[in-house]
Amino acid sequence: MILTIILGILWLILVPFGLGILPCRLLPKKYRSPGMIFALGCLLMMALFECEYLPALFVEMRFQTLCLIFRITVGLLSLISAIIGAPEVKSISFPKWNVFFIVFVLLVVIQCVARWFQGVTDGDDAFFLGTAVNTYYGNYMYVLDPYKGIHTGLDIRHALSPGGVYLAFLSNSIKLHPAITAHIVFADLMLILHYVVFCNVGKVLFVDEDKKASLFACMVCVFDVFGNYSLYTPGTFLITRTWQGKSVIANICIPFAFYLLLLLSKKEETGKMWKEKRLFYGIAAGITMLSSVAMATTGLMLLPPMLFLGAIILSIYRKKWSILLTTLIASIPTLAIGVIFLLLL
Amino acid sequence: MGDLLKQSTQTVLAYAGNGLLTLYFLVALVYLLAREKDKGNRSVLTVYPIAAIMLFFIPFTPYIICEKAGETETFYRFLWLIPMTTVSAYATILFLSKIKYKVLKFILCTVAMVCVAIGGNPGYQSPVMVPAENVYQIPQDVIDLCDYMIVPGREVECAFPFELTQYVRQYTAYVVLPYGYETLVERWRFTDDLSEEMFKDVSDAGNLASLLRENGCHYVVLNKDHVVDGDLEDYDYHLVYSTKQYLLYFDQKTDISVP
Repeated sequence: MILTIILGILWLILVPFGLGILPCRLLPKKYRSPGMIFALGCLLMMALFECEYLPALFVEMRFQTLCLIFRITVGLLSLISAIIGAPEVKSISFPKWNVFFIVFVLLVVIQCVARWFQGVTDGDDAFFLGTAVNTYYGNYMYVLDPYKGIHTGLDIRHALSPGGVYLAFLSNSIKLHPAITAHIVFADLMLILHYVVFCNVGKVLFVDEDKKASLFACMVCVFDVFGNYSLYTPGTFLITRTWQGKSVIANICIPFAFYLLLLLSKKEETGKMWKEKRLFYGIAAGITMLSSVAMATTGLMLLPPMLFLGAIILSIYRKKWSILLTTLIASIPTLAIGVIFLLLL
Repeated sequence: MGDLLKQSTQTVLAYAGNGLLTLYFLVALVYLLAREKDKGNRSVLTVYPIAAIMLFFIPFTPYIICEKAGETETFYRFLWLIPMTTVSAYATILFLSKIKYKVLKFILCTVAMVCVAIGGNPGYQSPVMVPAENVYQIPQDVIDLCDYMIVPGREVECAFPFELTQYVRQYTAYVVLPYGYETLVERWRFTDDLSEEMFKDVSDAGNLASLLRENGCHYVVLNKDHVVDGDLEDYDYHLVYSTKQYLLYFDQKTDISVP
């Protein structure tokens, strides 16, 4: 238990935080926050996993070997990022406590605790967790039927998005059964990440208006809790399937991409600042698209159209076509995976 | 063309549920179109959602997603691209910030949240949510039965009743199933003789035993309420373990020692 807690702090908090420090240097100072660093780090970790997992899949690498290589890579990158970015940490602005922020934190804590006591009968877990359990115990990736456990050969329809394998990697890293990792640890982590992203959306919408930004975050909580008005809404996915890849896309990747669009819409910077902001957007957009594909193949058809649509609107509004060009460059890795997917299917 | 538009409309109607929170969003969108002064915010909070809605409704999108890619079931996910929560929450705060009196502001804020609560539906009351029986959040019966069956160093095969089937492989990779979750989903129609016999209201013991053997099952789990015509013990399936609700039978003719 103590080992799991220590490893959990290392792989679920410190490593992502370290990874996020360097890219956040490009953000204008007023938008830098611990939450933004953490969110970007978590998404970067998923995106990096996709980049290492794909070649590993095609050379039929064992899962344990992939875990070892990924841990070394991501650990080193996190350390380098933290060392280089350390001087900038001082410029991070921490959230200011006010009555709405206290209510918001309470609402998030209640949701996180509620997750521990509620099981879910949703059938998609049979696939998502089945894949994680197969990988965790079987040491192979996407060659066993997650429903029955029989050998099927490579399931290319799902294999390009390693959501279940990533969950198995986290389980392996923190030495915890995949079901507990998914339902308790990863679910709470994703809930927190979801609200961290929305806190930052509020921060961009209400610059220097902390109370309004906190009220905005509270309202998002209310909309989420009562968002189960049909089976298909992000709110339903957030509460009932928090840990599944599709929920991560709907509740973290898409809101994060929306945050990036909001950030670009602010006309507040001069020449050099604009270049840095655009570079941040390009890097973060690329990371968001790749991380969404890492979670589920549906990310391929959602994130690129969303960012292109937003980029076209912002290019016209800001009269800067470099936004569209940046989006195009950022989407190259994701589009390449899409092409591989179409060729192999 | 008409079919494609119908496809988009049906998807929106299914997505919107009772439609009240969608209406809230549309009112918020119109309010922002009329009142949002910041051009940057306008471009992302009003122009972008309208463009996303148009993208969803132009026939090209359902044609590519539903007809070409065959993803009709997942077409609704395009609606995730419309930032309904952000637009609704932002417009509410913008509206409240125009009101001078604090008491009125507080009352209207409460009214808005009550509207959301009435128009929406709490996710925690969803039929798929059940009280967790353990830290795995998997039925305790599955854990007890699997723990009994697991032989270190090899896999064992077991047929489970339909209500437990989807959980087994979420717990362990060492229990293999003759049929899995795919047999439970009606639209997939992956049934076989064994699953059909298992899911019958009244199963025939002789037929069940012979189908279990054909499929190489070492074990079978039966719900105590499941009616079996005959006795499995007559066909060398012996009762070896039971939980409050389930009986576990082992095929005496098989060998599960580690090779």
